[in-house]
Amino acid sequence: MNIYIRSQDRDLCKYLDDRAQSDLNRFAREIEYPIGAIISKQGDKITSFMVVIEGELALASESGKIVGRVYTGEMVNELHYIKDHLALCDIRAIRPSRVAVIAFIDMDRFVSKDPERAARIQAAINDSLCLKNIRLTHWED
Amino acid sequence: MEHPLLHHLNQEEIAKIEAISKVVNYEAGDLLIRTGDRSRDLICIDSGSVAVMIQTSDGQVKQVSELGSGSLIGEMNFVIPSRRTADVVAVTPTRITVFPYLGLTELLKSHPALATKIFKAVNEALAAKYLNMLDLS
Repeated sequence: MNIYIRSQDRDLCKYLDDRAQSDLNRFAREIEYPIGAIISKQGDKITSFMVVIEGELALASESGKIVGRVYTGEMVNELHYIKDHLALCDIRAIRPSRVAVIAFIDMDRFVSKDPERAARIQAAINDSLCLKNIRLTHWED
Repeated sequence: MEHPLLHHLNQEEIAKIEAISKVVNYEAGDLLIRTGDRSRDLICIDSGSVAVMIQTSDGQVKQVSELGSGSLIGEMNFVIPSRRTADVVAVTPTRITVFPYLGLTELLKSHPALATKIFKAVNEALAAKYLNMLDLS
């Protein structure tokens, strides 16, 4: 979305200024996962964004087929913030990973008082969902 | 018929966005979008239906989908600057509403609450596209 200029490294915060990013970070908690850890399972109720601070995650079907990857700086679970449904895939750490978790309810609090922040978060999600669509069309098993 | 882009808007916001839109009518067989065009306009189909056609690597033209009233076209191009990746041809007499990129983005820059709702509607379209393409077999 090029009505905003990227000013932060992490994709979810990319269009926020330093102060807004700092405010959002107050809601985040960091979790470390060893390689191979299953972070969430197909069918789970998803209630949080995850931002990969270090490492790499994979989206895998029930049969184990990898259908997507999430790299350092990128987000996952934004689809569930937009469309409330149960997880379609497992999420696994395929490298030792550190993620920031931000509950959807906290994101709602963060954006509720400032429409400019809300627009910039939705724009960041625009970009992320476009990227995921493009990667699907280029994906090879 | 409610446009998917306007789904979250109140009457005042709808009036703002409709002020920058334009309605265009096509006959069956007319080309709405040509592959390679640089347009980033968002398009809603008001009535009728269109075919989305791509050219394969061996030069064949293949229909990849047919879209009807209520469909949104151009959401990927709206977000990411690239050329159009498919031809879109009217299958039946078709009426569309075009939201020109420049007019829309100028409006959204100065109305963040409206921008939030429009971006959310675009996200819903992008999420639906992703779920449609995701192969979990």
